[in-house]
Amino acid sequence: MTRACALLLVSLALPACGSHAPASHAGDGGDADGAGDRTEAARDVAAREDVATPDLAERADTPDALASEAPDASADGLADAAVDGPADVFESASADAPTSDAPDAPAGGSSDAPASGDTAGGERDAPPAEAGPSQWLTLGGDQLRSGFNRVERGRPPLSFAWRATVDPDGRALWPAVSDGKTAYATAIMERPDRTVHVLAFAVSDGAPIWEHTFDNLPSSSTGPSQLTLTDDHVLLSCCESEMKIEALFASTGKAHWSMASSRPFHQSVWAPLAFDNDVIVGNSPNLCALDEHSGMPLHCDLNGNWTFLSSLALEGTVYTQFGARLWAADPVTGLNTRMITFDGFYDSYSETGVPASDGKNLYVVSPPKLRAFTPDLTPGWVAVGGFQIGPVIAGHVVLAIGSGKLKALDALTGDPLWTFASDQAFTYPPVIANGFAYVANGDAVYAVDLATGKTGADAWAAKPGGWLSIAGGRLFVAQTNGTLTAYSFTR
Amino acid sequence: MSLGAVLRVAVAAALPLVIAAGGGCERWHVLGTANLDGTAGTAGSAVGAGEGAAGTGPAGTGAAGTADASADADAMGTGLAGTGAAGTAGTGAAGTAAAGESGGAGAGGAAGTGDIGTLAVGCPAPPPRPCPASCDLAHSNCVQGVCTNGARRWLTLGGDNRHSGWAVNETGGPPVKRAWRVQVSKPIVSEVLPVVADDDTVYVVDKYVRSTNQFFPSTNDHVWALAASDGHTRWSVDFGFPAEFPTDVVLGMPTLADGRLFVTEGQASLSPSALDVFLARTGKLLWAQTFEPGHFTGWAPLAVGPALYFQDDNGLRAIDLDRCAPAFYNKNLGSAAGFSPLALGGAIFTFTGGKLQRFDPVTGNDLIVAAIPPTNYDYSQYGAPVSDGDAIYGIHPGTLSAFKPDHDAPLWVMQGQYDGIPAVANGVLYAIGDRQLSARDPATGEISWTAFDGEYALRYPPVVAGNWVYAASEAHVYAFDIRTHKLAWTESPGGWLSIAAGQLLVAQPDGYVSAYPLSP
Repeated sequence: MTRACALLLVSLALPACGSHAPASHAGDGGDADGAGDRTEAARDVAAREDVATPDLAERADTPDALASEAPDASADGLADAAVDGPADVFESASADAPTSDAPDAPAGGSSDAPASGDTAGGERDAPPAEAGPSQWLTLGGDQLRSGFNRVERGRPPLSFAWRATVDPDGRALWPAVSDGKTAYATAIMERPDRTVHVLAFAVSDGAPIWEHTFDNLPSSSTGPSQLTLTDDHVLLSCCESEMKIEALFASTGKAHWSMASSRPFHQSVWAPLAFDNDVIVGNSPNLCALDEHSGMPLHCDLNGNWTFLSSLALEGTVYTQFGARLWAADPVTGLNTRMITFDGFYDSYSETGVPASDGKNLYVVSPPKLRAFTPDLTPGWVAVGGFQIGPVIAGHVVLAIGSGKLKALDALTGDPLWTFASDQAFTYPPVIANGFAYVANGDAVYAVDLATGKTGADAWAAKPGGWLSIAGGRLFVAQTNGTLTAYSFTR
Repeated sequence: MSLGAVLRVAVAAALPLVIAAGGGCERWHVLGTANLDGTAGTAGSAVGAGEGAAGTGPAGTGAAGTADASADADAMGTGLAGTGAAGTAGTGAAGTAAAGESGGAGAGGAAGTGDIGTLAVGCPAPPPRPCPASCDLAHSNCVQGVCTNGARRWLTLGGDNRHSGWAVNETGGPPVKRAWRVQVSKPIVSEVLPVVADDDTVYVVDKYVRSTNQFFPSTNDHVWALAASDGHTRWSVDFGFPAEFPTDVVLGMPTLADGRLFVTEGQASLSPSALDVFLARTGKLLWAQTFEPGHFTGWAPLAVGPALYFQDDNGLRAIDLDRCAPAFYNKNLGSAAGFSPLALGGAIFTFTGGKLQRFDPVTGNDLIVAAIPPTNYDYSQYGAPVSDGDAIYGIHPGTLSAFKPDHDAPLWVMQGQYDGIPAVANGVLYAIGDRQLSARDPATGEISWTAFDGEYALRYPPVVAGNWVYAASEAHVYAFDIRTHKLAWTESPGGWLSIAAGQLLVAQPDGYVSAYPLSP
């Protein structure tokens, strides 16, 4: 008996055990299997071909050329990639070179940190890039939610590569995920107006690959959660008034399985955790695990809590934060092994930080504090500074948004290293690659030297900002106007 | 040495009062880490004292270099490994950082691109900090860089653990002019809590209320360290969020002790609250103790040796500072009130609802010492009892009373429109009431003299230095000559008063802190 079958008698409504037939979107009439969707996809491709130019792929493969053609995306000012309202399906670098409206880049690196005299940030080496595909698979990029792309070797200044419309109605987007070749995106919808779209684009030039539509949704539906990508699937919670986990084939966008709940759970907007062939998702009041390949529920443990943030996986343990608690759970049994409570103020609807790990320790925002824990949840340091968003970590440096500023702290001690501020408060978690941090608000995105907190000679910024992710040589900005913009790193 | 042991030694050494042996420290719920029984349903009842094992960085290996945890380093033994090994991938093992005193954890820094070291865990304490060479150690104690004897400090509400309001080492007279004024909060709807200070630095907590909604105020709070000399910011900690993320964090009055600054932190929501312990010199948050959701009243904690005592809506809490863990929580106050506890004769005292209660400093066991006769006021006292070392004086709305710490009846009770906190200095008890500043005989409560019959809104606790007593309303601060009973000086605006480093410090309701040097 499989583990899924053995744990069948849990709370989810199940298809027959042993059946590999994916749960269909019966009645949805809108997934990628439908003739209508294929037609829609064909039209997308046609539209792409109408717009794309033959040299796009070449440009994507020669980022240096792009960089030289995009001097505006430098210290001179912000590269203006903003559009007023949704653009066409996508726009490429050749079709829409960035223009500079030359607003001032922020005076980065100004420190309002306590005068501890610790300026060690500038003395430290950034972790070197590792080998492998440059991917951003989920919120925070990986199972650790580190916010750190360890593979990406590019650096600022970046140049505009392409942009594409994800939500024609101009709603804000969730962060893009990508395996380095294909980027996936969806919009943030509290009420999806009976239709939700998940789209896939080519990382190289933004060409549409597929679009999956959940339609004919009941009026009580909630919108899609953040996306998580595995080798085979795009995973999300979506589109019912109660818990429903969806698995789309990453290659085609077709539905593989859909798992609904028999309980009126409240859907989470946070990205599922794909870990060791399991999918772990917090759906109040349960934290549930399903088999990634079948959708079979493995366990669904009633924790009685309202708000879950995305779980992370560290050394075979799944950690989940909700409210002022951090839980450690066995991913196989779902049993909680340890818990710690800390102080903090929580607004489950504005929270934009989830716990992160560097593979050794855990870092948690508990507003207004930022805390470090060992894997057994022994408290380490705690820092205070209006922390609300983040954290992310690379090497010695933990980053989080505190009082609207990007703050860097020593990962071992919590000592402040530097602070970077702009005219407007930063409102999205930063991301890190190759010694640079990228941080954004709705207005702009900035590159900051991870060692110094300065924009420095490689200063780069662009408008507008949004959720950030890094994969395949691109910085993706999931904007508030429904547009996904990709920038190329300088090699 | 445990908290109990230390306190008992201190009590036995200095005081004749015998403290009964307690039954050990009370265990708390929802604190620290705890193993669960594997079922989620029991999670809420997890117990644990939140103790962290003293951390030790792994021994330095390879090119890790020498971690520097000198006496002047931060509490967690912030050790940065030698830079010589930087760039040697995979060889950067953690150095070993010396632990701070009292179990402070040491963490090695990193070198190269290998192991970044070990996370510092445990209960950090301020590292030893030497006093300047000018400190005459033959005649003075050195506490965290401060020569204590003769030090002109104001450590908590009322200046000391008796909340006496007497700056005993200050001899100067009323100021001539203001030395500096610093805005720490926006003058819309704001409050600056009474400041504490040592010879070098003034510590300020402000509460800027960003929303005028009285039920759901949005606040933005800071802790500031200002140079006593000119008011420039040595460090600040911002608890607040930008406008996009309003917060409900509410900070309490600070207390300064042993190089640490203690601030209670409440939440208007049902989220847990905390005690925050800062390294006074740098503003580094050494540790924070979490408590279950509750309503902290924000009155100043009381630091006595290795223990910290403070109050919330439900009772009196004690924290073991050596273990960074709760010691006891006594909910037997019987009256909701806001107050700071008092230390006298090896015991902790509270005065709420007209009752003086004595607490064992280790066990928290309490005994009602005495109570005043019932009054017509059904609300309780907000403030602190004060003591001259002999008796305890307190204001319950409508009364001013005195108690001997070991007598079961009040020494005396005076009726009147008293409010706030009295002060006692040099054999005189001062109180605000009946639109007057009155000076009384502490033994009998009889009025010796009165002053100041002018301003109805006189409200802040009086303070005393040299031959002058200072009182304030929101609009003004006044100095009276104790010898002549005459008004000697006035300035505006008023506010909470503190006296330290040769200065009268005014925490003004308009969001400013002003410093007035006392005249020679």
